[in-house]
Amino acid sequence: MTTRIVAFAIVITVVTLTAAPGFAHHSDVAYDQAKRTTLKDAKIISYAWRNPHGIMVLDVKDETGEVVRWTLETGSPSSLMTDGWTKNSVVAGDVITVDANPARNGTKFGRLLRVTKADGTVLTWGERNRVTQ
Amino acid sequence: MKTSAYLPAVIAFSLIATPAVAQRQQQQQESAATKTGGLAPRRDISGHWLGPVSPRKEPPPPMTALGQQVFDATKPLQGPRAVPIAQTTDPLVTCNPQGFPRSALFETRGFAFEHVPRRTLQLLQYQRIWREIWTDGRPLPTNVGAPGKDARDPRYYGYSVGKWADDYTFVVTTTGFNEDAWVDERGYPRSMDAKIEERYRRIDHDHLELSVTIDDPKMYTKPYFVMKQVYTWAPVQEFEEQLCIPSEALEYRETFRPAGTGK
Repeated sequence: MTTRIVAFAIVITVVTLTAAPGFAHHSDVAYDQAKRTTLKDAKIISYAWRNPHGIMVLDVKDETGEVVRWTLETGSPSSLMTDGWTKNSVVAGDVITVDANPARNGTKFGRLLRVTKADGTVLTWGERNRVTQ
Repeated sequence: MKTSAYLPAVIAFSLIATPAVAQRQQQQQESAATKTGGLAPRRDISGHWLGPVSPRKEPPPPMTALGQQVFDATKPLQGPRAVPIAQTTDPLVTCNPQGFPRSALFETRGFAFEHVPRRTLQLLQYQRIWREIWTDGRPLPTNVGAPGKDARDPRYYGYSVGKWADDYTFVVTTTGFNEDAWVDERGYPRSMDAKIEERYRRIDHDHLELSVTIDDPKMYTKPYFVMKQVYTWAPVQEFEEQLCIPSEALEYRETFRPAGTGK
């Protein structure tokens, strides 16, 4: 048991030290960090778990009932793992609620902040880092 | 005849003994690798080290006119001059080599040293890069980029020599750079003839302090002390595979290009 705890602590330490901050390849300037858009009942069309950042494509109904396609960038696998994600935390077909910083130019792009799954599970990306920055 | 009689026994012994020996060697190596704490070993910085992905860097001294011109032409993704991904000229966005010293200043996702005869090898986890730091007393090349058949080619990671300043401080000097690469993610320049010094001071077994100074009169009016950063002994002395993959980086850039256009 002790061995398992030590091994787990080592893994967490390594992932933490090697993963943060996880924003290395992208620029935050495209996204309005003062705004938070919530996409309710969004259906995941595809999700690429990859470097340098993941790409999540979602279909969401707007206020008129029309389906609108959003594309969000997520962290790299190593930075998401720091926040407790796994490759299969969300998959195509899942219906979720997403919070994101929207693109400044009004296009349907954004940077993912938080996912709330149908069963109530909450997943975040980088909130810890952003709070301390 | 006798030989063939012994052969099955030799094979059987090998099949049984070899895995056992290998397992014992592996256990000994793992025991040594995971040993932590205690004093710094003498003249030894080997092992795997971890630190921040993007260490805090000092502001540079005033640049020369040329340095300012080269700097102004860059469009970084990071820092106070950051632009959207569609507009950047950051070489790393398409996974071009970081080069040195950027490899020590950005995306430092763990590194290792190995002391071998005539040189020390630095192994960088990100992109699986290695640097050869010659310790056999050879001088740095003085003909990099010069005309003539004996000239040496400029390199992204330059030419490096190393020596022990004392029993716990290993000093590396590097020159002969390909000027396509940046000093760091902010887009600061360095010329082919820059001399960059890394001082690795083994504080104790678990801590390694790195100081980086750039001496580049073509680009800066004074030597640029870039950073001092302490790295820690990695609890797992083994690399992950962290790669910048061009096809995925290109797809990422094209996918999010619309997000960074116009206002």
